[in-house]
Amino acid sequence: MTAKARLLFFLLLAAAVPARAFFFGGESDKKAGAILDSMRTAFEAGSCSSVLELSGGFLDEKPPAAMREEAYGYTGRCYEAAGFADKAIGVYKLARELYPDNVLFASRLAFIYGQSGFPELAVPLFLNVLSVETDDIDANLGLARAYSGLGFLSKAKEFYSRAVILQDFRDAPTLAEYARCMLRKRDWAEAVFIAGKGAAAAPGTSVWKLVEARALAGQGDYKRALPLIESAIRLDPARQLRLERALYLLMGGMPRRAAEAADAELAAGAADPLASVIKGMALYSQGRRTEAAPYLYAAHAGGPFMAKIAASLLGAPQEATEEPWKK
Amino acid sequence: MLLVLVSGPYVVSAQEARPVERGPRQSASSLPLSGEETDDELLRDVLWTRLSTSRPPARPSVGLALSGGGARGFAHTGVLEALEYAGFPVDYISGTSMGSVIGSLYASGAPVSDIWKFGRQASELKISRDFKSIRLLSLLITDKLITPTYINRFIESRLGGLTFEKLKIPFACSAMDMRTGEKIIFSEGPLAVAVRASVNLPGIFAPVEYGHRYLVDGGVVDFIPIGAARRLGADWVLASVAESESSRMPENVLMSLLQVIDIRGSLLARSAEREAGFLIKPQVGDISVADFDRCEEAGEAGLVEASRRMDEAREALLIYSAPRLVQKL
Repeated sequence: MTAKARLLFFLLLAAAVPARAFFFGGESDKKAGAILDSMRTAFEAGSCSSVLELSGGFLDEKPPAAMREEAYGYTGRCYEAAGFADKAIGVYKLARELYPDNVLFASRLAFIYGQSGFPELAVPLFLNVLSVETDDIDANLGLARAYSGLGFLSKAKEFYSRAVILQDFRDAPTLAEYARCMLRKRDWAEAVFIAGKGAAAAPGTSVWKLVEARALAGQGDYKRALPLIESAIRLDPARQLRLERALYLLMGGMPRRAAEAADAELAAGAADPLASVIKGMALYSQGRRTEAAPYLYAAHAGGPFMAKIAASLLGAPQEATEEPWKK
Repeated sequence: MLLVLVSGPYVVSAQEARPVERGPRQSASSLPLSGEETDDELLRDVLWTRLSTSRPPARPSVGLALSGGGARGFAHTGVLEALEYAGFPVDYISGTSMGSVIGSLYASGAPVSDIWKFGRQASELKISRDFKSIRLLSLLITDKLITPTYINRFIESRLGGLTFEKLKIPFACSAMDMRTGEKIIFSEGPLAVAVRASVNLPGIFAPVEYGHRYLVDGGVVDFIPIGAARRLGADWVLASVAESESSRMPENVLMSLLQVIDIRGSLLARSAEREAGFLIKPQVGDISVADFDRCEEAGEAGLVEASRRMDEAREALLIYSAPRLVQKL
């Protein structure tokens, strides 16, 4: 075919195809647009199975970038909802590369990594989201949790603090979570401050008194911690709170009262290794080691740490308890 | 909360199909403080409140031994931060090489945040230059060892004028006498010269002359100075070890020498580890002895690893301490 003939062939071919096919993708784009409309409707109706069914056909139409961006958002979240975190990660990773300005994908990836136990991967993604959306409550909270999981408690405090301020101190579960992090950081003042806010958000809950009690116990002030934990018990007379009170009595140098509190739990009938070890320690601290022994033996039915504490008090060789902790 | 696609022409509600993306949400009556803990955790945490607020002899005394490791040793800073968060008692500190720098700063009362600053500024402080300035050809031609100007300047600026006796926490550091191969443990007298000796790489930097001895880095004979902490009076020792994990081939003769010293230190560490009550080994990856530009990264690795293992460390100390702690209630 000569050059002239080749040019003529292409001109004829072009004339046979509508111009919009070159500029807008033509029928295929229309079809993709219609599928995307269906995906949107299905997503908004909460029908993820339909979204996922439609996504294959949608991509077959080779839709333009803007359409694909929207579809990736629906598909990724539907994979998440269906429990296919690995597939969701694949979609979000691809979408992040194609649409780096869209923080939805970074945000979703960060949440998945955070929940899957990879806080180190979640941190840079949350930071990316917050560089665009500083007031995103979930991203602030997600970053706080990721930092907390890694042990960066000062940084966790910064982002928990932002999250609870953005929530106007109204979300009680977040406040309790933040208070717990501050107890772990031994930031007693902040823990008590947050407990105060929590008590305003969800009054009548034992948690806030417990935070205050633990803040005082953490400083060795068991005498002032006791009335607070007793207030918590009045609001929620749970076994663990009662035994925590017994432990405060023991740590505060009141072994007889601690033993009485443990006895009350043991009298309830069922074997209670924690109550047993408290009673055993109370007797041990009074020099009544022979009497303590059966209670300490009973503590072996508890968890591994409790059993080792009991063994240590019963005089088991130290080396036997230390070796497993080494790495 | 609404997540939006910021670059698209649409706003997508994430409410309908959103999976669980937050932590467990509880009703106000079961908030995440009580009821989630096991009995073991409750017992541990309350016993810990007593231990961390007691002083010897009401509990056993605790030593902290910080290994050598050059820039990797900055991981100890993260370990110190995690220990502070946990309220872990530190009654005595010992250090070798970089461990002696970090340990002496901490023992002098410097806040951990200041020690982090040192790591962040390590490149500005030109510490790497002491390594970069090493020219092997000139070493061979002149047959003279180098004086680590910037390292010495840093130590003098932070520790000059201090003595071991003036420190807030009793401290000891290790060095080696180049002539006899003896392990020398410093725990009294001027501090700066002892730390300079402890951090002084043999074969590259000129030995520190002090008390009729020619002193070099203690890492060659005492990579984890657990014995030094015990000599100070510690009943139980937690050791932080910044071991080499690098499988990189050294690029030059100098790096080969550093790597040999490092490997020798790691071998020593293996036998010393058995003496520790608990070990924390930060995963510092491929950070090498001389990577002073990566100090902060090493510190973060230390914080992550120490945080990960802190509950185990607390339990180990509590199990060891239980008889004395309960007896003294």
